[in-house]
Amino acid sequence: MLARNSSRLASLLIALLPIAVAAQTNDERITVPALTPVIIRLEEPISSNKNKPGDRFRITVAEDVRVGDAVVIPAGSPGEGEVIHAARSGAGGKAGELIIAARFVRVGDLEVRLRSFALGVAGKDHTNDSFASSFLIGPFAMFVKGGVITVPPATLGTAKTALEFKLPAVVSTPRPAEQSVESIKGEENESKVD
Amino acid sequence: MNRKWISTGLLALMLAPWAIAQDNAAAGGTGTVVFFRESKFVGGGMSYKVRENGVEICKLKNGSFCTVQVPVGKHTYDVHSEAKDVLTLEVESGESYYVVGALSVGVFAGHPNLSPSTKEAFEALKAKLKDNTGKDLDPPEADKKKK
Repeated sequence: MLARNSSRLASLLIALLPIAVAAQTNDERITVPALTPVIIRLEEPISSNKNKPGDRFRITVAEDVRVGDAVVIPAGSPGEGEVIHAARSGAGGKAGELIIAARFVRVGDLEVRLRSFALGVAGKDHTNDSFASSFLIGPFAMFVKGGVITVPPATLGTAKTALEFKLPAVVSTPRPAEQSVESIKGEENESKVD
Repeated sequence: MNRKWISTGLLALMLAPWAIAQDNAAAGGTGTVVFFRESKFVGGGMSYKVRENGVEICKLKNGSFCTVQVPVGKHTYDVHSEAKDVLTLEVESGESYYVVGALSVGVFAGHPNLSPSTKEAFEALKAKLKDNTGKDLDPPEADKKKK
């Protein structure tokens, strides 16, 4: 009887081993809280007169996203955005309209969903702003020429992670000196179309 | 008998991580959409209604605004007179969106237009705007038929 119970117990422990290992692996991952800010760079131009709702466009992460000193989403991670609304400029002085959203960035095999995208407000200091998410652009004069809104590539914006994720730390390095918002804006200005 | 219990327990344990992973499911909630229209002399006598799927949600008079709570997701709003204008928003939980209404020149009547705007633009005008939230709206078609 005792031997039979022991063998059952041993079977149970062996069966549970993979779960224990998986749990251990999860523990080594770092929890990235929902609404963690992510600086996004557009990789292709978007225009109110050329793009249409549903168009996808390439984005990348402009700065390492860190939790503590660990990089969880490295700069350069690719992702996608989507055009939510686009209206051509028209007669009677009607200006073009454009609303875009950052959808996700890819870290390894995982797609990290994004929300609360705001363009032209790059810089971590803006994370608590109540900016309308996935929102631009009608009143952003810097992108408007002849009533057409054109957002050039390399324009920066901010998004937030939509959900809590567990990601492996990519590399653990000391935090670099804080990049000022002004320097980010400077970079953004250089990318503007004349 | 014991084997059945052990098998059931093991199955439950194996499925547990999947159940935890499901917490990534999309959260519900609502967002806020603010429609506003600056007071202007030209076209000042004309008002127009903002509709979603044929349901009136805001009557935009000259110098007025409406605040609407809507479920998370895509929303398509339209305004029309002799011409129609459509604006699509994607509402996220807890976020606020600002939409400015305007009127451009038309042949027989002004053409209403909805455009994305910002909190700053709304706040700059808010003191001069009249809150028209929920006012001057016709009931949905289904309610009309009941009456």
